[in-house]
Amino acid sequence: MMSTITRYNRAAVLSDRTRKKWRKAPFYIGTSLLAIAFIYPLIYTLLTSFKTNNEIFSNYFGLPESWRFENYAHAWVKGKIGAYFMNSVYICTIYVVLVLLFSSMASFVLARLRGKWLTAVFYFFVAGMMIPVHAILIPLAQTSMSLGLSDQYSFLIGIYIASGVPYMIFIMYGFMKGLPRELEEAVIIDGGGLWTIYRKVLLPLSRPVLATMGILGFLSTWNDLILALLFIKKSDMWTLSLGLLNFSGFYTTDYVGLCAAIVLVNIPTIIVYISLQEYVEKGLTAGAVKG
Amino acid sequence: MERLNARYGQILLYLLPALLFYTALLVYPVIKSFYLAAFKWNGFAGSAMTFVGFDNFRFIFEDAIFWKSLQNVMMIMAGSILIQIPAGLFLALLLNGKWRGIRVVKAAFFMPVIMSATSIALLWKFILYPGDGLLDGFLTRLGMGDVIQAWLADPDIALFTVILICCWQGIGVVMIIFLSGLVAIPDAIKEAARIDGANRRQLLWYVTLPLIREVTAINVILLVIGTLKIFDNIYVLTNGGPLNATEVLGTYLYSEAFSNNRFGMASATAVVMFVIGFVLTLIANRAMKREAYEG
Repeated sequence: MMSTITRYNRAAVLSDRTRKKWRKAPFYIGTSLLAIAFIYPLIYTLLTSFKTNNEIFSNYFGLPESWRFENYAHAWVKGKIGAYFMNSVYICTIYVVLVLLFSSMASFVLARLRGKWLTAVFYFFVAGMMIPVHAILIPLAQTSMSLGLSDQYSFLIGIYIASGVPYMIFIMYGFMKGLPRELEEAVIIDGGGLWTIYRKVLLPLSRPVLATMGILGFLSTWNDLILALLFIKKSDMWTLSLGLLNFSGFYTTDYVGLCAAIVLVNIPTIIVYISLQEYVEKGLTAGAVKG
Repeated sequence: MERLNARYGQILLYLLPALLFYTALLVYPVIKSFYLAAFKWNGFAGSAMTFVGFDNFRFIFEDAIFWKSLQNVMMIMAGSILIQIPAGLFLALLLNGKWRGIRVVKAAFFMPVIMSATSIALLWKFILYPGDGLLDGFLTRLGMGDVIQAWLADPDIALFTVILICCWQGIGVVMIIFLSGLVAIPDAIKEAARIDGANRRQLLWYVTLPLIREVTAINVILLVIGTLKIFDNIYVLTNGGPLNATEVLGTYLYSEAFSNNRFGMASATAVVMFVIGFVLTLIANRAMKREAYEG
């Protein structure tokens, strides 16, 4: 008797649940259609990158007649996207490593040690978040001209570091402040100094915030236009943004090539985003404060 | 820890790299911007710099293009807020739940945020290509050919096109910030309202919206501060044209310095941008603090 009742109830619950699901079907379909319409420009670019130049202005919504992967080879080699890609990878890698190292070192002493002067230094850093990049362009252009620093990656990376440090310190400081003290006390009792604490305790514990900040740093540098535009003039040293900008200049009729180049430029960022969705969303929404 | 505090020299070593880059390449240039704004010079290496006091500020304040740029920035700000806040909130309400595939849908709306502004601008330029681009071609096929405009070439329309593209690119951030606010609302509050007989609209109006006032403020502030610095999209899409119809402070500064070789006026523009940004940030922080106390 008991079992009949439970079975009956379970059946009722189940059918109720499926009915609810089906009632929500229009909602899911509507939302998905909205999302597809929203990113149709991206889908369209992706599809176009496989088409022929004759096809693009007649076939808006269909698949390519034949998938022309050679468009990519063309953009990569002839359009030199490959070379610019490597330049961007080089700049971004050095930048991310250095900015994480410098910011975490500074945040470490600022967050974990006490002293009025340390608080002052912290606020000095944080004030930098209010500086828009435009406010430093002219003096930096002047410096680069008088010291011959144009076309020097080190100068460009240095500027990226300078403008990245305030925000990174602001976020890392907040994170490190909240870490427990016990572990570092253990290191001190064992006779370890600042370096051991930083290396063995702080860095491993700060991995989540380092990841978020690393992603943010990578994206902002990878996508930067204005600083590269100003300080990199030699065409074989261009970053992807510059290469892309001039791609459209040189090949005004090669739209499939342009679309392939656009896809290539964004592949790394999209891979990073898809594999680390939560980190990227957190980093970028937090990073929006800095802009 | 106390023992460690005494080692000033060692502590300084940890601060030094960050301090060095930050001071030399960010703080010093900003201060120098103020100084350079007082000179007339053409930016070429070794060219003479003439002290002109506040003349550069007078020149930009007398320049109609400067005011046009400022006005356009304000228009883009207003447009971004009026479009992105309601639309972002709508998306967040739509996507505030747990169902299979929601991550993918969220990712679709967030995708333009992570992409480079340069590529987004080029992509839209291609889509808006007069006559044969995706938009015009689509409209023609729908039999709405007479709706077609010179989206980026008509001075009366270009600014609105630019605003819509900026909104398309930025809405993901607004949505995610709204979502973080919606997730933070305790279920107990909603449950209580439901037990008291509130229907869905009342729940939204009297419970949800008041509770996300703070994230709304954050969104507005971010849009305001972000728009002030807008450059990449516009530089690539229109470069401020046609006839300065989409000129913003960023492109105005850039062309004053690097096309017209008026570095003094460009520096004065930089100072104005810095001051506006500073004031807006202060107001924003003040407003946010008040929000936090009240909420």
